[in-house]
Amino acid sequence: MTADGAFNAWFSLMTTVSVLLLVSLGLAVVFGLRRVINLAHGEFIMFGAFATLTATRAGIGLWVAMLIAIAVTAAFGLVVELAMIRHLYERPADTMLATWGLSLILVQVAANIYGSVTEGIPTPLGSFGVGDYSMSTYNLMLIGVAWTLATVTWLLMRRTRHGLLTRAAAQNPVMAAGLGVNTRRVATWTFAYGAGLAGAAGAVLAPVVGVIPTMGQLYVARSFMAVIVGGPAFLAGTIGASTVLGTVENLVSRGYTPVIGQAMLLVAAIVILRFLPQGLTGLRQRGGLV
Amino acid sequence: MLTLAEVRAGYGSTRVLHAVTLEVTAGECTAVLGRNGVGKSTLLRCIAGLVPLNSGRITLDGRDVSSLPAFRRARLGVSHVPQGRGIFAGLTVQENLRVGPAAQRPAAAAATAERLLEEFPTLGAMANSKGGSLSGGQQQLLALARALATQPRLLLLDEPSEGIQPSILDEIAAVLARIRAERHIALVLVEQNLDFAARLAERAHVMVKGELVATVDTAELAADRDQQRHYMAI
Amino acid sequence: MRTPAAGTERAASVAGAPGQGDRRPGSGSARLRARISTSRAGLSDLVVAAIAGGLLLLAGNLVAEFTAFEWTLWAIEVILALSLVLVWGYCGIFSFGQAAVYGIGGYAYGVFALNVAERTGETLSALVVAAVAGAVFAAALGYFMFYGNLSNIYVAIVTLATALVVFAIVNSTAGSAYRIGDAVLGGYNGMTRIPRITYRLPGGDPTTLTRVQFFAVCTGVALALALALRSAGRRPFGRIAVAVRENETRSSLLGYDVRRHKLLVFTLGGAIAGLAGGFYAAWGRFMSPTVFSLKPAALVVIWVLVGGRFSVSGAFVGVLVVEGLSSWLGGPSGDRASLLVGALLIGIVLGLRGGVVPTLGRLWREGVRPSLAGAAIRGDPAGSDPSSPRVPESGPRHDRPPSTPASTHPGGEAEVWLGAGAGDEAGKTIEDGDGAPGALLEVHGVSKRFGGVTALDDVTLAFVPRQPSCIIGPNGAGKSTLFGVLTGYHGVTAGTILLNGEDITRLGPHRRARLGLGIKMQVPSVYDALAAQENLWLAAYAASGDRDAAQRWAARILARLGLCEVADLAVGALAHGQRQWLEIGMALATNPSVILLDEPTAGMTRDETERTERLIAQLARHATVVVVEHDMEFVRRLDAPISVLHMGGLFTQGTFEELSRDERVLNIYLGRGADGPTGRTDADAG
Repeated sequence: MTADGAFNAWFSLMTTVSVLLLVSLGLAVVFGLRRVINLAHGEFIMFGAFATLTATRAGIGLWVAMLIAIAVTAAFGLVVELAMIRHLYERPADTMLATWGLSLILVQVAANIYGSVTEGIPTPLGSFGVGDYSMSTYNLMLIGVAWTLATVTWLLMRRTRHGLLTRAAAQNPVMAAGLGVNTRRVATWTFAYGAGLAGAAGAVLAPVVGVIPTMGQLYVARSFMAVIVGGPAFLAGTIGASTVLGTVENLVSRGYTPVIGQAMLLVAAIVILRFLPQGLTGLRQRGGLV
Repeated sequence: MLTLAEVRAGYGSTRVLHAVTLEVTAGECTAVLGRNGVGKSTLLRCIAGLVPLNSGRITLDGRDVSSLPAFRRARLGVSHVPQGRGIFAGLTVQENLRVGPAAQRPAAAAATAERLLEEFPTLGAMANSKGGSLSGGQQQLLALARALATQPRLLLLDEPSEGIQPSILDEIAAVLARIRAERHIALVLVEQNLDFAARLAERAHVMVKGELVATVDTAELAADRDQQRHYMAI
Repeated sequence: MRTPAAGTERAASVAGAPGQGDRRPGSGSARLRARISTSRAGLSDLVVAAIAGGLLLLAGNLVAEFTAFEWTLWAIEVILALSLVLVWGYCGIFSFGQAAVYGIGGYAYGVFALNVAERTGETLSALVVAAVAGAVFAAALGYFMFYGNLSNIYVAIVTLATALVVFAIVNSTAGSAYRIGDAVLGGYNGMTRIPRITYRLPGGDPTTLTRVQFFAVCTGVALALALALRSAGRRPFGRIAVAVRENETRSSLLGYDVRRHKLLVFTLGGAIAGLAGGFYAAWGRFMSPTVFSLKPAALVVIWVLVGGRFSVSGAFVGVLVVEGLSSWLGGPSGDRASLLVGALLIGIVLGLRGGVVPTLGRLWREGVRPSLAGAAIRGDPAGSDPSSPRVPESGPRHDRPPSTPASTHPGGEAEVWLGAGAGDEAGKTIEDGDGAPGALLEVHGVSKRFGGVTALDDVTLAFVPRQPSCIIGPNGAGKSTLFGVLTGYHGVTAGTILLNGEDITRLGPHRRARLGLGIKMQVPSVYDALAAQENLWLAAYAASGDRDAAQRWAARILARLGLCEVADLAVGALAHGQRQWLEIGMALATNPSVILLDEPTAGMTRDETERTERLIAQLARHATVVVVEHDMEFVRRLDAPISVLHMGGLFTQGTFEELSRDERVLNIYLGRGADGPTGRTDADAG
């Protein structure tokens, strides 16, 4: 393989891995820190995408629109947590059912508001060339955003007061409460942050994929697999799992079809779980970052 | 400053504490002794707010805290060091120390942690190690330091001497004696180690099957073999 | 959340219960509610089914053909719902993938029928293929999930994810290139022109079912399946599934192969869902990938939730209510249906106090589903078994003098067996079911380290049959770890464990149970939602594999524990002491050669402790009994050889008298070194 061919292959791989990481981050935060199984995660992504779409249609510039979308999705997450999730901690089955119901409602509402066919956002930034290959610059930005968000999350958790309280509450909520941490409020902000991350994924993906009410469903399965395979150290685990599973998906997609690639992702995830039931970082402390 | 009146509590349908009445004044160290399984830990957890009351009242400085959640009691000055210590294994020693102040007095959090690291040189040497990698004795020191970081007025210690080697035990006893004198903290100490308890507390309540059956002078108890046999052993 | 069916059935069963009246002073409604009623469940099932079936067929013939066509879909959906009732309701497997298996069955039918129907003139074989396809898919997925020990929540996620992936795959198969034989998959356009159900008698012509006939067939299959599930619920297969659902750990400790059982149930559920899918394909003559998407997956769960998860008849109720509502609101594909479904989910979850699952569990305990609790409850009252005349006479229940409610003073039989004087007699009767005098359990040089902590240090002990052995020690001595190592819960870092000379060191608790280890955990692990008798039956059946022998054996033990009065109460309602005894009884019911008891008197009153001590003395005649304890009074009365642990090692051994005089033992209990206040203990054990 030629050098530029190799680069192209690597670029394609990085794109797949980064997209998977991007859509999984929000879920990793919420599931990894508080064991909340949010089946409406895909719909939060969709929310962010539609918010971006609406904002651009209103004449706001694309980048600002994305920022607005992130804020709006986080706010929405806040509302959902206060109204519903907070009653359901430590009740995973009920959380699943309730968020599932929410997801159905959100999809329907979106379909009612926007209809099933939407005009998309044109992909900005054009393309760049390496040797014989031409690649989308936007994908480059996408890769950058994914890893930047992961880094930002790491910094927030590691270096801020709030991150400290969040990690403590995740590792031992009872002890944290005994030290004066208001674990309820920490949980609310954690969920809102996760929602914001999902919104960011939606916003950033909006110019690249078709923004339709059911777009979330494409991502929810894969992000759950990445998070579960990742294991208790949620950040390192999700990064590791995204890399492994994303690689499988990418390589298989090139050889066969994208759909088969997705299927193999699932198969790989199930097989890994069969042998490593705790996930890739199974031996690490829960709530730890790495 | 702390009173319990006719407190009954338990887990689900199992009743563990039966009509416990207790009083602790500021600056005093009270021990609660008894065999395993009688409910000593449950008593402390009840005071800390981790186990709800079935009936009875708990007051702190005259204020009824019976239905306050644990984190509010912590902010009122209650600090609980459980059996097993509850160290945040994934956080470093320094971070462990900062959690309490970060939650209650954020501005001074880092400074408080620094100061404690100086006060506890053993910990200071391991400031950046993960909590989970410490030995049992070191974890106990950390738990103690962490409990002190929030400037508590009531300190609840559940078997602090368990599994600790004598040298660290000395260090712990010294620290506790000092802070009790300096800061006028009230201590409630649950112990099976009679000698350790006798070093710190003048008075001990003996618990049998969820009830406080006697109040003894710890020095006396430590010297009297028959009493020991009666209350504590086989 | 009460459903109409639930209320009616309970009324019927309470009315039918023999002599269960309210003779207990002070028995609150709680007791009544907690009782699992005996009933003429079998008969009422048949009657209800026959009436329902008759009505439907009658109605089917009378209404317009189009209505029959609509109703057929509901009948098919009932079959699908039943598959989830089996998998989730019976066995506790939280599967979101039933709709996906349904879809696989449908596509399988389509593909097979399109290829084969013209040649064979019939499509019944395609139905079989549909069921088989569903079963195979479920078995493959189930193998990875259950043998990978995925917890329930992950099972839910994985099944959902699988459905979505299948959706994506099938959705993309548009274009004529995607075909299997003559069947074009069609991608998002769907597979069309699927043949209807056609049969052909030997030598006859292919006959296609009319719509009304098809309606009758589907309804008939649904009813037959419902009855079959009901019946399975009474058989060991169903009862074990329920046990797995209620308490997986305990089931494993009894020796049941939990993973295999779950796989079997899941595969069967897959076959049923696949069959339903086949019917569906034949009904609409069209299969589309949307069957794999989120909404249908949710719908199946909602039907079952609305109707009552544990209830077979609830499948009917759920489908009718939800689908009826949807269709009234504007059709199943209408906008409002989605909103309804979503709102229903949220409403049920938030509205049910305590959540969906515990509420349904509470319904279960309130005796709504007697058939699923097993016929044993309705079976022979303890003691009327003629083959054991020496069992203390208990007679039919209503002859017994009234006694105080499920409390610490069980009725007369308890005195006979747990009290003085009945010793030999009761002891001999136990031997009816057991000949082994107990096995030799040895621990050689066992050490156990958790990370840096040495919990057990080179411990060597032997527990001999025909007498109980006690293990005591101060806090942190390693008693719990030793118990964990004996039961197989913890592996060992070094050393071996031998049972009658056989090395069992590497075996897990489930395998050790099969080899004859009976285990009673510190925190009682019993089936709280099931009756006491059922608890004992499950234990006995695990060892014997004979349903009736297990039934008799369980009844006998029940009598001996003095629990006849409360035999049909849900165990969760019993007093703490009784639950402890029940668990000891369960350990006994497995005919063990070794019984391990962890703090059997924890939480007991003085009275209960005395009875337990007698019980254990009886047990020791027939098995090697090892007791880990804290209660010194109990240990004293038990009068057994004692091993004292200290800081992970064996400190000393002796009788109670010897040890109570031993100064060193007193010292370690006071937290001092063995040699007194100035003695230095060993290095940090923590």
